[in-house]
Amino acid sequence: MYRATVKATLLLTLSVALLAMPVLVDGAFSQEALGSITLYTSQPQDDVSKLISGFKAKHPNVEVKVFRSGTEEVISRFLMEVQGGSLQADVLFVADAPTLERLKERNLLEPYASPEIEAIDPTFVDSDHTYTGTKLIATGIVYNTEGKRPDPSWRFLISPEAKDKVVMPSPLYSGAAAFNLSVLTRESFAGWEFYRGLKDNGVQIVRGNGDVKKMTASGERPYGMLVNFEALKAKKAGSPVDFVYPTEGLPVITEPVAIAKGAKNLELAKRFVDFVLSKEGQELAAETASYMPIRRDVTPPEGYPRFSEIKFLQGDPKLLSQVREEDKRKFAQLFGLPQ
Amino acid sequence: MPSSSDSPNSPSPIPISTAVVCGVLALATAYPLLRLLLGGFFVPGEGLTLGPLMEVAKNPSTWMVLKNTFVVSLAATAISIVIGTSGALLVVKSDIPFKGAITAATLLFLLLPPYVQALGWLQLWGPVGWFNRLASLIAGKRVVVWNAYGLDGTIALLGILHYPVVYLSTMAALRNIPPEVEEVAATFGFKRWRILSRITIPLAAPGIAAGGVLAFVGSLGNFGVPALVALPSGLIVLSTYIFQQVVGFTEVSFAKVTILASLGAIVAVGGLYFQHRLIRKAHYRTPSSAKEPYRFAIGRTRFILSATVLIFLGCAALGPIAALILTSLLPAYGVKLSLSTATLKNYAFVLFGLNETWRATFNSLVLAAGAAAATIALGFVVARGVARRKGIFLWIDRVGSIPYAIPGTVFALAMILSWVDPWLPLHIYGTRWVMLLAYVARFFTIATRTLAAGFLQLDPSYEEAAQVVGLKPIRKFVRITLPLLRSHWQAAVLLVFVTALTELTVSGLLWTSGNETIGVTVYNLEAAGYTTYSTAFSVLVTLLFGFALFLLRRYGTSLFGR
Repeated sequence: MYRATVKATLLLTLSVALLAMPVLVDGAFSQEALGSITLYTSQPQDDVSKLISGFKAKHPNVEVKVFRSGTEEVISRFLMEVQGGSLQADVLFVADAPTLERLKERNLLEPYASPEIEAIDPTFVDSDHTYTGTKLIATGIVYNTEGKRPDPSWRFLISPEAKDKVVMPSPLYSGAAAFNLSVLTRESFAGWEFYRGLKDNGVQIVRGNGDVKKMTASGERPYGMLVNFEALKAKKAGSPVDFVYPTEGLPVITEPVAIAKGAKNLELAKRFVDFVLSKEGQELAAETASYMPIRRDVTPPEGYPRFSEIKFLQGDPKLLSQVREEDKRKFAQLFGLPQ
Repeated sequence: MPSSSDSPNSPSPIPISTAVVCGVLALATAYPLLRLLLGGFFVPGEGLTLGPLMEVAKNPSTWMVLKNTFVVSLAATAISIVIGTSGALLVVKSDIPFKGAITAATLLFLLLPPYVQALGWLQLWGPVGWFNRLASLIAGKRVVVWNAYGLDGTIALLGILHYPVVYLSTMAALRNIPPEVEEVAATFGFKRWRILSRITIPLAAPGIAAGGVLAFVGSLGNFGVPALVALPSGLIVLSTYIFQQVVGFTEVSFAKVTILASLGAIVAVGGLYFQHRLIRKAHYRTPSSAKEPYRFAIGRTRFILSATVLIFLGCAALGPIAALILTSLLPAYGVKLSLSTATLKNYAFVLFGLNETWRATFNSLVLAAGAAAATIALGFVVARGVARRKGIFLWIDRVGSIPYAIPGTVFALAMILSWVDPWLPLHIYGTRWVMLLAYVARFFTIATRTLAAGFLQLDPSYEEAAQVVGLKPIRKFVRITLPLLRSHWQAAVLLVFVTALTELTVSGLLWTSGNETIGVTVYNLEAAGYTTYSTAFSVLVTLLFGFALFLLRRYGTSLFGR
């Protein structure tokens, strides 16, 4: 009995000591650099680290703090902080133009015309300069290479050949998929007819692009709607997948970068945006993360078709931001899902 | 710090321990929940409004989703109770072999984050999983014997996911039954089944019910499993439905989120209320026992039983872990595994190539230890009050279960909302303290439930006797209460520590640079498409903790059966 007591006491003491540790550690490391900015992003951790290393090589005394999570989580936290009146983010590097359009409408973004936008197609730059696209992420058809290569057309996914073999991300859970929905239903070659066709063809709806990639790689569903860089990265790593660019065109999101209104360090935030859009920054992203650059003067990494060979479907960000909720509702109705 | 709340000669009307508990829980639980609730009726730009409430109430989808949630959680809880109770009975109350292995496997299983487990589960039972592949091989053509997607798969997985909780709390309860009770019955010639059903199980009822409620509340708040297993078949439950609203990003959608979360909270509190009613009827108190529990000799069948349990654990728990280990050896997802393709490069990357690995492991260890210490301390005070049916503690207990019952994402949002613009001059947002506070709020109910089961079983006369002989409160707690409830608080420490160690949803929204946890790192790798890395990391954490458990066992904790 006595030993048990001693053990228990020791355990409790140890736990309390551990509990106190965060204070000590926080205290030891809280030396501020000369200046610091906070970045909110949905970029993969590895890519963010490399981007920041590149930025710090040019601005060694700037500390870059990062919050990284899924697009949905990042935007939620951002909006929650806005609602609480204490925004922590200086730079937002996330999602798609329509989502940022909504933040712009609520006057949450600081306009900034970076000198770097000269080299970027104006359709990827907000006319009021509140946000600028940073890369081209196009959605097309991914397939498992153990099966037949699909025709380069969206119609393939609703053909009898693809019956019960297709997987797609849910527009109700993934912002990128919601973007595709709004763009494709407004194109004459697809429309709501296309989504009805997918339903009749027994499409499986999963949460996001990551699940689509896994299901096609494992062969569980040999065909899927997926963003090109995910497919390319998986292929590069050795997964049995490849990507097809439908000739009708591909919905493309640009993962824009923007400065938050009321950023604590506006000057540094601008330097960061400059770096992301600069030739150097774009080359870095293309090299380390296989992103398709948005600048015309940077060559896409291996595996991508040439800029001119793809038809990009962008839509009007303003319109798309307004119709998104309604489109999602219609989608849920079509598939008999709760809305 | 805890205990001694109700001595008749206590000088102050509100004991310090109660005040501390109320203070901590007010900050960690009540205040964020209040802010969340206010968010449901206050829409920026519109002011106070009932609009979102009406919208949610009028939408038929709400009721359909609630019904799904109810069916899934209840059925899953039934599975958890059946598996957990029978497992605990076999290990504590019989003479089957390999007891240590059974408990160790159960605890390892608990260590994998639910989302990661769901992945392993699908690799085992999915349409092209091992099981169906094996069946196809036997049948000579491609067949799908059982498809894990859908209602049945979701229920089964959630049920299995939460059985360790029932198992541990039932085990603690069974250990505390003094052997004399059953021995006497056996001497009178009662049959084994009769002793089991009339004496053993009723005496352990508080433990079983406590585990059952935890399983129910856990199923209610789980997001990973419904997102991965139910969603592809079109089955939507409350947690996935709430996330669907979160993604709406409009002012109204947040109000709807909080109203839906409140519905979940009501269901959880209802579950707890039901448990109290149930336990109140069964009023069994025993003198606690430090002796070896009574064991039923089951003769030769014990080998068969042991084999059955191990096979079950193999299929349900270790199978997914094995699937994950195999995935972690792949050079890339989807590549067929063979001796020539297998690689250890994922492990090398996690161990040496990833900056976050060690920092995240350290952070998680600190947070988990802190959460365990704090929740156990709070739990002792509250659980004791609950066992004595003191009104205030009953309410603290009910409200305290809500953070665990609502999806982690929603609770994390409530924490952000509360601490970016706090009503008190406490500027902890963006530090580790917010995460710790969130952990404490979320896992409080795990500690309290487990400990309350212990207090319910305990005959209060021991503590009263200590008081009569004039032991000081702290001495009384250390010398009497702690040893008497040893198996319970050990179970509670383990449950909270292990769950917190790999926590994912809350940390995913609350972390800041340098404060990443194991869960955040796994999630970030997974989200970036590096499934092979994220599984390698999960496997490493499991192995590391498995080793720690092995050491614990050598140094003799009662959890592994004596």
